[in-house]
Amino acid sequence: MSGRPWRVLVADDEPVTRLLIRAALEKAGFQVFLAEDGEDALRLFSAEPCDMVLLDVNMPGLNGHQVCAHLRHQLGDEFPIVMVTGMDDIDSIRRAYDAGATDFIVKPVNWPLLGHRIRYLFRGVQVLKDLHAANARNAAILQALPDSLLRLDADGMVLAAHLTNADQELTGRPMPGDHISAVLPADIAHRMLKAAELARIGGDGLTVNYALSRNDGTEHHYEARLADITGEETLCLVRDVTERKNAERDIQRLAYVDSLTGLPNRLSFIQRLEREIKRARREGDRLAVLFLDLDGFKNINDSLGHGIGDLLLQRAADRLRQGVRPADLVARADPLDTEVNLARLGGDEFTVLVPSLHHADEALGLARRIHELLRRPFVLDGREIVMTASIGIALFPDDGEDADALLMHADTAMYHAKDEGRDNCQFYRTALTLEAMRRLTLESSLRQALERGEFFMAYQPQLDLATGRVQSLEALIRWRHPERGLVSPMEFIPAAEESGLIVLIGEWVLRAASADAARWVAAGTPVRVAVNLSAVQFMQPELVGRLRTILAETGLAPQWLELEVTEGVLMEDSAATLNTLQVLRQDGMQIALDDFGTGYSSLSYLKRLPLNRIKIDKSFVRGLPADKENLAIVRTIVALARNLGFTLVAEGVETLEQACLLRDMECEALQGSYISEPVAGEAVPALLSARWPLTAT
Amino acid sequence: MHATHPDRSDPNAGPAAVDRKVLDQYREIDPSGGLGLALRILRIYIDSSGETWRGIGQAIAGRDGEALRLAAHSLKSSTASVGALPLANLFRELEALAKSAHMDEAEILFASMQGEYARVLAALHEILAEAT
Repeated sequence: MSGRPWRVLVADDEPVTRLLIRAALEKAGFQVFLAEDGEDALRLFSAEPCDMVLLDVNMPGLNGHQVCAHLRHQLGDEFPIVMVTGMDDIDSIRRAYDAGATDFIVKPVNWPLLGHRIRYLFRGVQVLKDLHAANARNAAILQALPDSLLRLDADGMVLAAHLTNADQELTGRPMPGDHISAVLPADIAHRMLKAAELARIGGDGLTVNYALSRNDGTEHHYEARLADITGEETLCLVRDVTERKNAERDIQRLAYVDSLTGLPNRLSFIQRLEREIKRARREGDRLAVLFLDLDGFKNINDSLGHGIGDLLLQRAADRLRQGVRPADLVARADPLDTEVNLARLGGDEFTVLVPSLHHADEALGLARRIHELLRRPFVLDGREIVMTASIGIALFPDDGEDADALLMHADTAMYHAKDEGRDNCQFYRTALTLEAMRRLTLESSLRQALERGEFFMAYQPQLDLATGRVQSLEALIRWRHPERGLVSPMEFIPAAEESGLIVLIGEWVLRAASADAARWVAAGTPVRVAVNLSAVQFMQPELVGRLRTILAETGLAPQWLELEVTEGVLMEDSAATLNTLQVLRQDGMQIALDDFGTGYSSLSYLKRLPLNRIKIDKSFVRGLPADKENLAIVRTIVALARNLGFTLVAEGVETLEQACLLRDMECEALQGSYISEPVAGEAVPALLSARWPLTAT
Repeated sequence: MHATHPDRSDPNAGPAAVDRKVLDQYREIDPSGGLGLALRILRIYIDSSGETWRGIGQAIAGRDGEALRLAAHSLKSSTASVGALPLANLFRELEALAKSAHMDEAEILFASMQGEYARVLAALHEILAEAT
């Protein structure tokens, strides 16, 4: 007991007992108030409220039970009321319980113990009071918390649920007796139960984050925290964190998105660039950074105001967005494998990241596309504004190893573009600019060449040693560019192959050579023409159909057409390859294996191929007869061809000595500058009628 | 007054009218640990029991069972408190008879209790006299 003493009201009609109770309780430190009967007790209590009441059962007027019932009703469940009753009066003890007595003391009273009894009773009452206060505090906390609360048993059954008003709207609101998996989607319930289990074995910081859809269709985010209560039960506090999530998302947006254009900002771009550099380094990939600056934007801002300036930036951003859509990059066979990222760095500066670059000229192509998109006039506020841009390009890893260096060099290149008169694009390395421009130009020039008929044919004769006559010609394409003049096939064929134009060009060659051959056959000077087939052409499923059409349209009998393929082409896919070759042979066309010796054909594979002849690559012929190593190789090839039943053509024959050597080895035909350089179609008939004796030693 | 002190009031009257050990225990709840409380109880009993005693007589004469029960209950309790246990047992019997409405038997029992009541009062007076 601390502070004021406990106050006890004692009601007994018997003065001796009254006196003894008072003595006993005062001895124990209580303050005692005495009443002589029931009415007296009630009166006294309302005048002097006490902490406990001791009531004798037998009193004139209102008896103890009646007073007890009255006080219990008035004071609530917790107030301690103790009945004093005879130890033989069991019935009275029972009635005391019914009247709401807290406890009872029997007579004869053990006087020395009475004070202790009452002190124990007070402690029990205090514990009860504390418990009630704690419960009230908990209830108040729950009321004040924005959380919903679930109490779960070890199996995940809901024992109690306190839901906030907002959570009442949730689909599947939990009620006591529900299993948690009945009120939450399976995966969330599973995570919740796992966390509860962890909480029970002493884990901490256990939170489960999840999202649910409200009945109105909006999605809400929740954070559930779990704590163990008794080792069996778990407390689960659920908070609606939707607003926080939204705020986080807004902050994220503000941090990473340019608010004027909605494009990623500098920070976002640099992070993306750093990630891509890491990836590119790992995968041995190349990437490009385009740095774009609107020409003369400052003037527009100054003369027309920031409002128009901002509007222009937004419109320009929209156009850039269209321009750099991956699907718009049509240069590649599969445009989707080139992904592009656009950002606004600040002011009138934009950047574009091309994460996976195959050739430098792709970046240039993109820059040109951007230029075209911007060149259309912008109509702002009834005014037409023409905008151009200067673009600088830096490549990884060529121009820089990290994001800062790349961005800085792309910026430098952009200033270079400004110096070059604006509205153009420059690589950080000037040489690359030229090379990429040439490649890009070459590609479009090749298209034009096809359309404008700038290609023509040349033929290099193959001398048949048995007859001393030219019986076959290798057809070779030539390009006369209107400005550049003759362009070497070494330059344009690789570009044609990479761009896929080789198919169209190859078909043109087949048609031109077939037409020429048909003419020579008709003129009585029949000769076989050999046309090179590239790998891309050979893989075309419609190759056989095309060839038949061309033969039919030019009126050339198939035996006058020879197709030259390289070892590399034939190694691609043996089953399909073999099939194609067999069909061509059945049709009557001839097949020659070009550049023999440079590939890695296995002998057993070679044996199965339906070939007519093998062409010894000119690299082996060169240096003959002095080069002993090449001599050995040529001897081996000759022996091989003999054994497999193929005829042999030697390429690159430049001297009489070489011609004689190859003749002596029983090579069937020779081709090379010693015999004749390639000649125009018009010169062919004269060659065909000539005899070519080898004035051998 | 000590538990070992023999009752000298009436050596021929069988068991002692008052058990002094009962009074002895009041030392423990006496504010000063002495006999003050016990003596006050005796005085109160001597002064107030007579009125209740007469009330019993009236209740019996008026055949009022409930009044008899309450009065007998009250005196049973205070009589036991002063250590007069034989008399307290008689009051218990009287209370039981009142409860079961045996008023004639109660009248006979009450008449037989006169002597014991007088013996108790005498013993109490003697204890008081000894103590002062």
